[in-house]
Amino acid sequence: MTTNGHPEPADRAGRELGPHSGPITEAELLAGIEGDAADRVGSNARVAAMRADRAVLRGLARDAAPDGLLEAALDEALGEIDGDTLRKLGEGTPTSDRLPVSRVLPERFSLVTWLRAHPQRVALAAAAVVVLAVGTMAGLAVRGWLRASPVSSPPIAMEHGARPAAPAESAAAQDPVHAAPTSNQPGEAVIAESTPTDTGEAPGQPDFFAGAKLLAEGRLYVLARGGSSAKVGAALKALTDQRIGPDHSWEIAMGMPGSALASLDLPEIRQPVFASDDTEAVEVILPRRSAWTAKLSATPTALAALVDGLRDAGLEVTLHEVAKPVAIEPRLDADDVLWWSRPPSTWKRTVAAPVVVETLP
Amino acid sequence: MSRPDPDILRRAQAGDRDALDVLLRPELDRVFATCRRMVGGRQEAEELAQDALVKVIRGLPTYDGRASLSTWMTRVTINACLSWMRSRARHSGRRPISLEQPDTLAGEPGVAPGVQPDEKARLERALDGLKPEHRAILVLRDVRELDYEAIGAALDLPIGTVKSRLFRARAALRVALEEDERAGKPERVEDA
Repeated sequence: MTTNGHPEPADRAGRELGPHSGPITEAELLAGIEGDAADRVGSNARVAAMRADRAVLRGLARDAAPDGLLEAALDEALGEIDGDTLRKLGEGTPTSDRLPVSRVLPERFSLVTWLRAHPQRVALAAAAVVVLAVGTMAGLAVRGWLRASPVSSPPIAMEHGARPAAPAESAAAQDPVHAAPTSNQPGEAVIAESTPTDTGEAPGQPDFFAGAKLLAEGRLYVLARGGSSAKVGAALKALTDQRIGPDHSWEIAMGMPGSALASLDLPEIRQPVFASDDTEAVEVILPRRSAWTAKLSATPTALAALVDGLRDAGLEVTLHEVAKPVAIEPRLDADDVLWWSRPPSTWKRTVAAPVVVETLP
Repeated sequence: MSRPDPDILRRAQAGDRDALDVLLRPELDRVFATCRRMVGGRQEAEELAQDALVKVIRGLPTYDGRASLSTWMTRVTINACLSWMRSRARHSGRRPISLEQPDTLAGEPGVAPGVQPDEKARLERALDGLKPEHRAILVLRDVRELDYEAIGAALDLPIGTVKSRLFRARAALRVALEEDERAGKPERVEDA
């Protein structure tokens, strides 16, 4: 029976073959319909009707594909593939937090290849360059206006308990690892630190304006420290679980290339450290260092948000100047590529800053 | 069964637009014809064909060359069609049959001599009432003119099952046509 409650045509066709035909299979009936076994079943009325049905079906129009079908499909599919690629580029992860620092380099994003893959992108890129040039000129004009304005150039407000910004001498006392041998010596100068104080007062604030300037020049790295493996582990987990700061002000984007890390000229920290809180047994801490890259706008606000994010994760944070720009580029995602589609007020240059996380009491 | 040029295939799998064009353009009409006979309406067929082609392009890196490209694309296309038909059935029940204007049928290219527009309309109504699996195998056999082996590859069925299902599909089509004749309303449109 069919699903409609009618007898199976196979049964009816079989019965109509008559008593001399014997049992007939579906395969034989099919062969009769399609012309391979006409002798056996060809005279059956229902089979003949099904053969006629086939002829009508084969005679139906075979419309040609409409113009532009393939082009539309290519546009859609390649656009989806590009979107996926850009999303993946923005999801690089550091691969190691052990010493010596080693990592698999993330796949490099080649702007030239990306542009060549699609002719329309060249035009888009040209338009973006024009917009960028206009935006830069406007930005310079605004910057000049801001410098001329007394309101725009106050010293950085220091919260109570804060230390003055960028005194290399005080930084040296607080940070023996990155102590500057002389003041204003690029390469190891601590701009200021953001460390919770013992008295519970608000931590000192780095000079974010100076930091943002160095950030734009690629000459800034962020050092974040925790006093125990557990503390740093929890902080790293917090950072990797929620790698994007509020309002996307910063993003922990990927591990850092070894060459870029080497250019920071960080001191070796392989020696074990013995730590005790006076009441418990002495803990042996093996110093560890992991290197990350934060993607953020080169603005004091974004830098402050990054420092706050690291501090909220339980780390002590200092900002450090290096002599030469660190050779890392931010990995672009769809938002970065489409920056021109957002309001002009949000147009900021996106940069990458090294974030070195150490377990070191 | 022809295999694509390895260099063209490799470039196409890497997303090279020109290579994709070279590889896919010869298959365009077959993809569209499959969709056209699976869903009936031309506009729906265009959307479905584009969707199927997008799936082909995105899935091309998984094509290993064991089947012919045409067979592999047929499989992707048929799966897209079946998925679309099942989704439509879930969300809106059976759609009203899309009937073309009778006066446009006679002049439509490709209609075999002797096939009357009325016959074609009846056949399309009957096809629309079939289960998607039955419709698919009839389209592959009679519209695409594939042999049993290629149909088996496209539907992932052994040849014995292909023959059995094909016969049952023909039988179901005959029943539907006879019901249509009994109803004697060639211009009717089914309700959902």
